[in-house]
Amino acid sequence: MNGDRVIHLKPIVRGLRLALRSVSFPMLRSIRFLIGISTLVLASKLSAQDTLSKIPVVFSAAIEGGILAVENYERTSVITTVPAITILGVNSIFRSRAAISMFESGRVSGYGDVYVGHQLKSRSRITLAVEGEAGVGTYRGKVSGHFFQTGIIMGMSESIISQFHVSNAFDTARYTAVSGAVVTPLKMHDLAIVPTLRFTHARGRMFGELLMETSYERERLQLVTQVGMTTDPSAHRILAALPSASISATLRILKPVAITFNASRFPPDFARGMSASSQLSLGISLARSFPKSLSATPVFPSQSIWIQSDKSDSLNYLTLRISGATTVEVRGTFTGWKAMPMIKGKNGEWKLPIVLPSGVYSIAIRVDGGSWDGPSGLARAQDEFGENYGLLVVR
Amino acid sequence: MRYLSENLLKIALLLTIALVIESSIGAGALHAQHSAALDKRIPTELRPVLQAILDSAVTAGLPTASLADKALEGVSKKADGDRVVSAVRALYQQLKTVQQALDSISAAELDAATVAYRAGTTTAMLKTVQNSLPKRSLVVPYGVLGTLVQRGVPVSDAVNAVVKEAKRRKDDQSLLALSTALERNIAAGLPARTALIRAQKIPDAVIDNERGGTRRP
Repeated sequence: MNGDRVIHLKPIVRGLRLALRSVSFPMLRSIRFLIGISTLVLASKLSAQDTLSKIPVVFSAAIEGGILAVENYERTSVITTVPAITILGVNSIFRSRAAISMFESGRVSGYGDVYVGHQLKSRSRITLAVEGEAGVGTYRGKVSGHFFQTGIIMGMSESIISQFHVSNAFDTARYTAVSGAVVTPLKMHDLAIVPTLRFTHARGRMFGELLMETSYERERLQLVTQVGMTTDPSAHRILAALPSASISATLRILKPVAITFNASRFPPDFARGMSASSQLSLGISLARSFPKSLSATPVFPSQSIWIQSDKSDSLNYLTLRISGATTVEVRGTFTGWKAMPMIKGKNGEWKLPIVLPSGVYSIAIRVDGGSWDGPSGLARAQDEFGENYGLLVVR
Repeated sequence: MRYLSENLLKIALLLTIALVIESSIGAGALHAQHSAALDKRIPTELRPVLQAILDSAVTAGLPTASLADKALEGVSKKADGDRVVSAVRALYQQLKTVQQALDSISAAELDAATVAYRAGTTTAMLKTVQNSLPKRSLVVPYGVLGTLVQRGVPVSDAVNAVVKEAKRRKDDQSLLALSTALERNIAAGLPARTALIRAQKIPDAVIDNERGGTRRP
């Protein structure tokens, strides 16, 4: 009935984390220990449906508490809550969140931000999206800083994403920055690699940054590493660079219990006026799945598997697009589960001539002798024998 | 005389073609009388129990090719014998459940419907699809339904989307484009339901030019 509204409110417990964390900021000459942190993430999914709109709305709240000990400063306990709301439209994403920290001494600090992203075009290989983010911080009831950023993201294929951002902030240091970055996500076997090259212009100078983020995921283990180099404007050499490194490991010992570990070291961020920091944490996590590993995933990936006929020889080919592979094999219901080598084509394409009547076929591929997996671009499932496969529908 | 012999030759030729067509249709039809042969790679010790399942399938009027293939899949993946037999037996039960729920369905349609059933579609929903799309092949609708449900789209939403798209265009290309667009949207980070809503907005011009459509050879 037009106008009738059905509201489903479903509470979801996303996970529970217990971690011991040590954070240090050498430039501030202080060491902070955050001990016995517990993070409980509760999310409620409220979907309002009527005949006019079907927009999923997600409410979530994270609560973190612990003891904060700063060198040369009294120990204090702190509780931080982060309520957030996310609205996922057909072409848009809206997210708003607020972090409120209450200290033992009665002081309160807060931070809130709003993010809006909108995809302009999604039908062709080149897609565009615009995004904007604004935040404000408070301390003892007064505005202590603000942040604004706007940007354009352009996805040219599944392997190249370029980003352009203009940022302005007034916090511990004022800065206005213009940055451009090229991100090229790659996937090989169980390893995902996201190299990022970014140039930022701020404070009248240009800063270069090269980051390499890798993620390895296999059954019980997720390993995420990040190494990078940032130009050092304080050095009197052109090629002087400051290294950064981070490693995070999640080892699932018994579903959903996992041990988490993180160690990271970041150099000072001269463009944004932030000091160097290092972190070490060890904890236990209760969650249904691994956390999303890489920050830069393809925004608008193109299709990676299809069947096409070749005009030159009138044959039909099962075609896969996999960049950087040396060998690709395929097997499935249509090969009698025998591994068939695919023929390398142009632009990372791999082909196999096939004759398939209309039907639904199970298919798995193996790249460079790795493990068998369902190709991306198809709905994937796990079979009774513990392996992943993809579902290929042929008309 | 010569005229008569020419006509007899034509009739014989037509009868031969008709027999070939009938036998080829019969081979793919649900009520096949012979079971698919077990591959040579199936170990000897598994053959008797697997053959018994295949024989039961023949008796029940079920297609046996997918059962033989499941056995081969397990053996190729070096699964132990008990697991292989268990997987084939489970598929047999699923085929039987789906067959009992659907009227007069071909072997390929039953296999596709079973894929959707294994993904989480109920037999009632499969029946809804069959009733909504009379006089057409249901291989692709059931196959695409299976992929949507497998990807986390709620079953009722997936059924509605498949029926709507199949009624709108009868060449199956738009259904395949729907599945492809859903994958693309999910890979871009959208939740399954939102990804489906966006995937349903594909204009026909894009569907016709969609390289990703899996075309029949």
